[in-house]
Amino acid sequence: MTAREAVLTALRSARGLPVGEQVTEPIPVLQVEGDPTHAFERNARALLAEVHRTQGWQAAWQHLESLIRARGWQTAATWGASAFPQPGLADVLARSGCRALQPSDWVSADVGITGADAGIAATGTIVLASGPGKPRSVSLLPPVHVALLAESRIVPTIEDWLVVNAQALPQSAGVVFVSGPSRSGDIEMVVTLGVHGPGEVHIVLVCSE
Amino acid sequence: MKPVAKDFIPASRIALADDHLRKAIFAGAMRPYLQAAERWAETSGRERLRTQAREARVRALRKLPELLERLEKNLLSRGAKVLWAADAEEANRLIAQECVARDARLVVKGKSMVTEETGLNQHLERAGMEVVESDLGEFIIQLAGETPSHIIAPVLHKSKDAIAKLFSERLGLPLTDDPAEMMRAARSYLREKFLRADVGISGVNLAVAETGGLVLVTNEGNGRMVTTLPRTHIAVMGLERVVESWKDLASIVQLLPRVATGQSVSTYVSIIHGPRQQGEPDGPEELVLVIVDNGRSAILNSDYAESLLCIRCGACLNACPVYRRVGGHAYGWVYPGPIGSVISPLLLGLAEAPDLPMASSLCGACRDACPVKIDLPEMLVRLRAEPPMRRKGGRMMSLGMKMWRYVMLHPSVYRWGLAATRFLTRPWHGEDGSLRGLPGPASAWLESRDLPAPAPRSFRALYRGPER
Ligand code: SF4
Repeated sequence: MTAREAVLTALRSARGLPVGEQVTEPIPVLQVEGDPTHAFERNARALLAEVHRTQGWQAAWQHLESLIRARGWQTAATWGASAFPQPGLADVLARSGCRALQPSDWVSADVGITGADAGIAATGTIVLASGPGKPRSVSLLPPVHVALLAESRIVPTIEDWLVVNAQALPQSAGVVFVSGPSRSGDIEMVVTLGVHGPGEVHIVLVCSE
Repeated sequence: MKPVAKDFIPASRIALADDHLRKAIFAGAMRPYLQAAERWAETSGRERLRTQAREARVRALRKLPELLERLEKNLLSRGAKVLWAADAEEANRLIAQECVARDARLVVKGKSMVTEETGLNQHLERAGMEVVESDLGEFIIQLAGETPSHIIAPVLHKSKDAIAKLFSERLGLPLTDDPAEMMRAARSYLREKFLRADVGISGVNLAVAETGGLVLVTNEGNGRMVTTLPRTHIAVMGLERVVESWKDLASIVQLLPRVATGQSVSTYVSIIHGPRQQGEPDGPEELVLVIVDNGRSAILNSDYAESLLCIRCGACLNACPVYRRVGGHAYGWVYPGPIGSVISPLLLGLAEAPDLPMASSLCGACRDACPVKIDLPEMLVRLRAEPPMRRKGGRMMSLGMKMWRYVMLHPSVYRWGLAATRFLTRPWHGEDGSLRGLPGPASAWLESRDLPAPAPRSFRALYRGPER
């Protein structure tokens, strides 16, 4: 008998939990009060992400450009152009003199620029799903991560997003929920940022015009 | 990790004598957790979320074999490989085989309790591989050659000075008292390892059968590194960590950080559905899931099945007055605190950890803290009554208990005994009103307890009225 059969047989014949305990279908518990976009902003800031509110994609790209200039980022790792809802990234990089690196050099990039598949209002989280043009390491390797999130993609809770997207989840080998910069409290509970992932997270919120 | 759970009593004596451990770390360092727990206790919706998380886990345990098969089927259909291990030895052997087949020299690991349980690192090292822990806490532990003392905060027992000294000796970092600087030194050391590693090994916080997704929760991002950069990702999972649906997962994932560290959400929740899919620019080319039993199916077949609901959040440790005084190492194995006192004897064998079920005041704080409402005190009491433990007390103990029972059932004997006790213990009445230095077996009992000396007049006498 293989280990698989042995284990499954043992589980099937196990006594298990005592019967009698009622289990019901889950209903959402955590809810968002007020405007989801405002809740998103507030909660993302509480996680130490910086939120930049802009009106429309035009303004969003402009804001990204000024951010790159102000911070002096020279090199970038980015999602593919087709992974953003609107074109504009290539122009921003060209105008600001920031060079888009090849994947093999991403580990030395100053900034990683991605879109976002969703925003979670209750916690200020962004959702990134892997796929063509959407590599996972862009939001992971550089010390700074900038994500452009369309306001229309904000949903109230993690649960809302998971339940709606459950069947589509397997289309991405890796989905990640990002809530602020990478952090650790392992050394005497002092919070330090940027342990393995980015120590700085910017969310450019693209509101409808 | 070699279990030394047998030595709880001597180990806890040593820990209790360690003033630094007790005061500096457990009082100071755990405060943020405890405050967070208090804040959370007042949140509306807490009880409902706890109920749902428990129900999600109960539902999963009731259908465990079916859910595991569904998980397997879904993962296989996307090109992952699924292996089953009946025990620790088999798990280690299978994982080593996978590594050797890929000519792996360097293996990076994310935080994983189950590989801690099987002692995987030593096994891979003996096979000639370099194994690097990448969770900051686990990395420090590994450098120091120690073992974790807390499920969530593995280096809770180490002061930052001790860590600074370790980093200066092992990484050449100039002595500093800035945790951020220590963190950066570890970051750049580990960066290089991540980029060179052949295999990444991770644990699995939960798996979702519905679609075959593996869920990893981390704050540092090491879980993402391990599952993104190396060519091969091996995920190792205790077989109880599966839930049925994404709805069920949502209840747990929303609850876990709140009780574990007081965060409203963990920094990274990764959902993995297989190796890199067609058209995807990065991610591992291969995914291997190892499903480990190692005593869990036997627990499901015992009176202690409820302990398999555990989501390893660490809240019961933080809440436990015993854990808070003796720390994690005294428990002698991977799982400390109340949950460890229940599952260590079950996983290792009752005779291997006979004192752990006694390491509780049965105050119930762990049950109140547990997000899935596991009745830990009740299980500890039941464990105390298991045959090998019962024998532990020996004949003297059972004779004593029989006498006690007789006395309690006979009021006249009780009255007489009380008067006799008052008279006979008179030479040992201490000035502070307690008994001091009693002879014989009583001395052992009094070593760590205060027993007040009998009052000059008993309650019954007082009740009858003033002395005439
Ligand atoms: S027993 Fe409950 S409180 Fe303790 S670690 Fe498990 S889930 Fe958390």
